[in-house]
Amino acid sequence: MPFEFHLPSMEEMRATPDGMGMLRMIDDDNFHTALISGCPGSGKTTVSIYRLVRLNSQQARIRLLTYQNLLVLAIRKLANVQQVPPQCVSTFHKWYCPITGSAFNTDRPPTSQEMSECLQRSQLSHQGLDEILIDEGQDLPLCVYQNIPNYADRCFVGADNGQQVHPKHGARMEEIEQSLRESFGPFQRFALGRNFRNTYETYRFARQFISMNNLVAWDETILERLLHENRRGPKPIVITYRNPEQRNEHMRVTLQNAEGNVAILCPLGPYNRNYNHSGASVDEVHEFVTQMGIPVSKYHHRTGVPQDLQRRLVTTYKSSKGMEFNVVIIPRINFFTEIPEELYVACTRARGQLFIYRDLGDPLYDPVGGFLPDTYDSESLETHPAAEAGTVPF
Amino acid sequence: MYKGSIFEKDGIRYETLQDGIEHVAKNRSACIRTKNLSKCITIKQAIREGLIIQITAVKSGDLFKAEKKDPGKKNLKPVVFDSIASEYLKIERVSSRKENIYFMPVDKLRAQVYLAHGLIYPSVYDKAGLSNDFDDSQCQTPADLTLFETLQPLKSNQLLLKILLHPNEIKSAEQTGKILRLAIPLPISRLIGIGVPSSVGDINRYVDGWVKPDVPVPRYLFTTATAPSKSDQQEFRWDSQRKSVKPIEGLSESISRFDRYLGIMALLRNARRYFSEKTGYYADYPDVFFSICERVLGKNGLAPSESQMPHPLLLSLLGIEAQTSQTVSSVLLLAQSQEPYIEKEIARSLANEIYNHAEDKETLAQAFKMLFSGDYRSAIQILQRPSLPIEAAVLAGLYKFSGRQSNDQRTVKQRLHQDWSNMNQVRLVLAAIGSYHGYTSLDARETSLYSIHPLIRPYIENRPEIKFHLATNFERQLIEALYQRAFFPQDPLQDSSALYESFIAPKDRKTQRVASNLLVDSTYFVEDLIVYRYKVTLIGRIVMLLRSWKRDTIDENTEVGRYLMSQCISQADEYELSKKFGRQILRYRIAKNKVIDLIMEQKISINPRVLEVALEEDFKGNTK
Repeated sequence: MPFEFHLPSMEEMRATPDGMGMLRMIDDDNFHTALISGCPGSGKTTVSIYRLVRLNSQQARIRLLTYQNLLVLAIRKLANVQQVPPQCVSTFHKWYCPITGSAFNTDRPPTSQEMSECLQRSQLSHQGLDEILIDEGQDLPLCVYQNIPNYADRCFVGADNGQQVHPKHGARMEEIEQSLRESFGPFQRFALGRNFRNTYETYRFARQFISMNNLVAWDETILERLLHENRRGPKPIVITYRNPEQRNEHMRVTLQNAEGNVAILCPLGPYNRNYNHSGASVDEVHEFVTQMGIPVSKYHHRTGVPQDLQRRLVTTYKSSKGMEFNVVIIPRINFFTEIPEELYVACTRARGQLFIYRDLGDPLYDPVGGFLPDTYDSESLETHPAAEAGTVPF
Repeated sequence: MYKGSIFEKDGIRYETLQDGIEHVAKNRSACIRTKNLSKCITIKQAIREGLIIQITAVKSGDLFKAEKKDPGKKNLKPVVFDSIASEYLKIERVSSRKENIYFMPVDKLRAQVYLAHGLIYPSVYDKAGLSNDFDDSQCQTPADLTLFETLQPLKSNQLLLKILLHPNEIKSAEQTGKILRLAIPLPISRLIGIGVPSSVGDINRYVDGWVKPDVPVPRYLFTTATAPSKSDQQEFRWDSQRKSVKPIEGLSESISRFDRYLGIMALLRNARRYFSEKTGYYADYPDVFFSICERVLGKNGLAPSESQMPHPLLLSLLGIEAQTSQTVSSVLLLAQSQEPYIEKEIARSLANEIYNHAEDKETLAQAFKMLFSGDYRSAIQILQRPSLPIEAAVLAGLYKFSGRQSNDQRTVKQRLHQDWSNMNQVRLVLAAIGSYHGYTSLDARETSLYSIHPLIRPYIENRPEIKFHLATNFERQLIEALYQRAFFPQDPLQDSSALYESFIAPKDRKTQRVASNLLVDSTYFVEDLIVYRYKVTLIGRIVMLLRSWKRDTIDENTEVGRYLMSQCISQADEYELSKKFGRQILRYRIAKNKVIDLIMEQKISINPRVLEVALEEDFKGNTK
């Protein structure tokens, strides 16, 4: 069964603090350029995808350009439901190079003048796009915002300085805004606050990976808001094991019973000879899950982007950023070095259930060791408590 | 653009008088292109050549902005419904007020919320608590619905809803001049028209932009709007007597009940669509849906004669009195729960109750043990056994798919066809999940049908409706009856057919029978609702078996080949008559696909049962 990408419903959006604002942004066409900002999980990408779907339904000529390969693939799955042609979504580089016939190197970006000349010679100059949507705009250089808006009736950019992975060459939000506002009006500016899609239980568990000095992650109002919005679900389940084969058998049952999109997340992509614990790498986990007869896709920085995405995906903590899944499974939480942010990202990908396998054979590297016991349900694959006399046998 | 489309240039609106005219917005002067012309022409030329006409000099975009600056000023160009041709539309055109038609100018988003909920309700009952963020007059009377007797002006982000009221509702409403205030919600079935401001341009393109997955879009209700007469315009004033923002006690419960009832029917309606690959049978609606409708509507003769009585649990879920056991009542309570998910301990406690009343305790305990250790799939294989109480299977389904946060109302459908073989149980499970999650949270249409028989696939819709799109009178009457049962459970059910029939004519639905020896088409009507129903014939099943057979050709060395020899020899790709040990031997070979075509085109006559046995033998590998 393939991966299914679903737009959040109107009522889901209305249940969030900025929901009404997001809904208005989706339908607003009264601008030439617009900039939407917000931290991770605020809904910038959701608004862009919604615009893509709406405009495509209205026969507009559009392009959504984003940075994350997996996200491109996931959005393309919309083609099944919303008839969005796959070519409408790509990374900036994969869109720019064929239409201009020249490469685009983010580390050595062209000057604005060079880009302008290149674009004028390109087929884009007579393509007449209705809208270009740029997601993760902070990772593209300023020359993009000095030129691209010339080639569409509207240009909608999502950006966040906090998520910049190319600080040297990526444009800062303020620079993007200045360029769009001054050269390509009418300009509109939208700002989104934080919209949590996790349950109270998942968030309360996941924030324990982060130092308590991080006041943003430990802001109690986040939990209060999740409670207020009634975003509740089952507690994460931490399953302790010593024998990986027992773990695999438990995981097989878990996978067979996991509904919707399922992520199996590992710290490492390729198999690593120096750190070869079962459950640590995408390659190894993909192999044993496939051997169970369960269809599953894999992705990490050394594999190509899979042609077709199954609803079950093995990938790294890092690559899962920006995605969300009904169920998240971490086959081995222990790791030889501390990666708290990555673990936090991995756990917060879960909309529904979170399963964490904890190797008791590696107690030195056990990030869950000090967690509050009431933040998760524990299960042991070593002990099988006998049913108490007189109680119901289930 | 189509004929009648509207576009704007330099603040002036124009209407196209032919199909295929394009407005090239980027071009300053020559900005009109037709199908026949490679070069663009100017607006003036286009008017001269009768391609377009100028309709107004008002800048539509400015209207909303101006209003935002000064909400008190009514400097809008008012708009009302316009009668435009619509291929769907058979209803009476809107030009003047009928006795029981009222108008509501509402924010477009509010209209979408009403459609998503299946209910037109006062702001104060909005669970999201965001009703004041809408840009319309309803915000000023949070505890009431404000309706107007006459057509009203619209802003560019608003719609004019045309609402049908029952004469008793008009009597009981508070009336100030030509404004009516109604303190109770109305079912969405009363929505009989949606007026769109003419400034939005092409109406089809506008409606195409309604892409929210939970909002059903009744396309045929949309009409363009133009200006009302001055006398029709009503000044809306805040009435100090009615500025109560307090909700009526008990009404929130009725709204939840209505959401549950509608959720049951919506999730149940497609239950027969999910299993065609497994069963070779497809129907738009399960028969039991109409058996339930008979009870809900208080009418006979809706369900096909072979349909079963609805299970008491189904009727109880809909508030229709039925004899139920203690455990069924407990399951019922769980299906009405408002919790964000069903906790394991709560489910376990109910499982215990079912266990205590069960006869086959050992088997049930084994199934529950699997369920609570996370192995739902193994558990339901046991729970489907006829010896076990049906409420155990319903509990398992409810518990497994109770996550509101993880959209379980959607994921439940992905593997239904793999998990369930007992159709009666699956209907109950779907109904219980529909009740638990409610109508509002459902998608307007299926995102996918996960298991469709290949022979049936060409004849059915890939994304059928889940929510009600108000396309038939039958649907409207059903919604109305559920509304009455939810809001006025003590009152006798009123027949609403008269309310709707004078305004909504049935759609012109043509049905072409499937003419094939592979399918039996037993499509039928329930009042004005068409129910497509197909069953794969034995020949159809054999064709599928032949297709799945891993051979390209058929010859005399197979059972099938020997059976078909006399009929297929004349069509064979190769044949040879030879002699061996004094006996004449006929050999032949024919492409498998050719045989399939001959069967489908009825060019050879076969005994399907004999061919099926022959195929089974060949599949077993018994053929020498």
